[in-house]
Amino acid sequence: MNSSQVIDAQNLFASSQEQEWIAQAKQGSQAAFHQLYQLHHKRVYALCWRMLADKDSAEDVCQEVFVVLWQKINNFRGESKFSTWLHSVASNVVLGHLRKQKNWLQRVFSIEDQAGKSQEIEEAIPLDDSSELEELDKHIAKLPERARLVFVLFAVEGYRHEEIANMLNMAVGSSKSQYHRAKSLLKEWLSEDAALGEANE
Amino acid sequence: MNKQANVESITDQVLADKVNSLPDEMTPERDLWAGIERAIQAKPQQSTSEFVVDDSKRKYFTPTAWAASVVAAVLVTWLSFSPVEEQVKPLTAQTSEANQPSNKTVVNDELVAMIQNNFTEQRQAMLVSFGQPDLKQLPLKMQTQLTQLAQARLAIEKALQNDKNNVDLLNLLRFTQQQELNLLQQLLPLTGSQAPKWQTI
Repeated sequence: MNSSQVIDAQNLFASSQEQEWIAQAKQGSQAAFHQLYQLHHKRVYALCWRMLADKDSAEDVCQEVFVVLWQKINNFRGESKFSTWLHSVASNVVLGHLRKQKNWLQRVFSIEDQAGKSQEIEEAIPLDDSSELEELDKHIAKLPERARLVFVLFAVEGYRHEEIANMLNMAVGSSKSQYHRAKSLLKEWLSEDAALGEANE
Repeated sequence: MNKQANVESITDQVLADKVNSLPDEMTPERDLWAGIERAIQAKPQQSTSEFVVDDSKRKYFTPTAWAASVVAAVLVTWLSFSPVEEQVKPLTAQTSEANQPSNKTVVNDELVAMIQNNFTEQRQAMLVSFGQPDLKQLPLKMQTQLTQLAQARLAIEKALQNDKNNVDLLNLLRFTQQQELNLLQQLLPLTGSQAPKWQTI
């Protein structure tokens, strides 16, 4: 048996193990649900962190995602990968959280203000929280809220603009323009980092 | 280097590569499982059909809110006309017929009392069936809707004291009571032990 066959066999075992945990969790087994949590919570947390750009909120919402998952797990029919379905649940929980947190007026102001306050936001992210983050993640956290959500959903999570427009209740064109705005800002900030790096050398 | 030159130095491909190399997982600082475990013990799993019911309830909530608004609007209109009747009453009270309650008025007194008692009993039974929950646990918006309906009902009852033979007012009272009961029926599952407490964990 060569190494690729070993990896295939391992993946197959992991997949069948996951299916078993899902089936048991559907029957109400909290032990099986805990196994699913152990398997997926770090990915879900990463999604929450990138969308919310705040550690405490991301932790709270990550908890909320798994409580919703516990309630809705019977809706999973195995038509897609469990991780894909879980990420769609997580995205919706995050967006629901954001809707609850802010009324539209606050959001309008924050969208307009955030672009000009990127420096303040950068300072607001605690050093011990951001120090372990990838350079790009630090910059994603500085993006204005809508641009950040669109960028994470499109570029990181792989949603289409039509799906994002539906999720965020915006026009498809707005989703595309927010994505381009996010890309421009990220490229600008990464270039500045590169220039600083060169200057230091 | 100006901003435009900065942006051009990082191409779309470089950005895409950086996105692809982002870590899939992040580790939350605190243990999230303890809170999730506590929350799911209080939250039973729901079957697919129950979710359908939930959706229909949500769809039903909007018409109820509209009904509450209509009742409030009708009441405001009614009360704005009521001073005219109150000015007429002292004149009719001078007659001996007005000083002695007629049989019809006695019958209506009993009818109003019966409608009020019936409503009070239904409301109380509903509250008892949900373990006498504290309605202040409900979201503020829902509390406001309930208060508006209750105020509308009280105002109609007050108006009926001055105009006991008014069939329209009696019908309006029964309609308002029914709306209040319908709203309570939808909101009570959101209170007490079934309220989402896990977010504060």
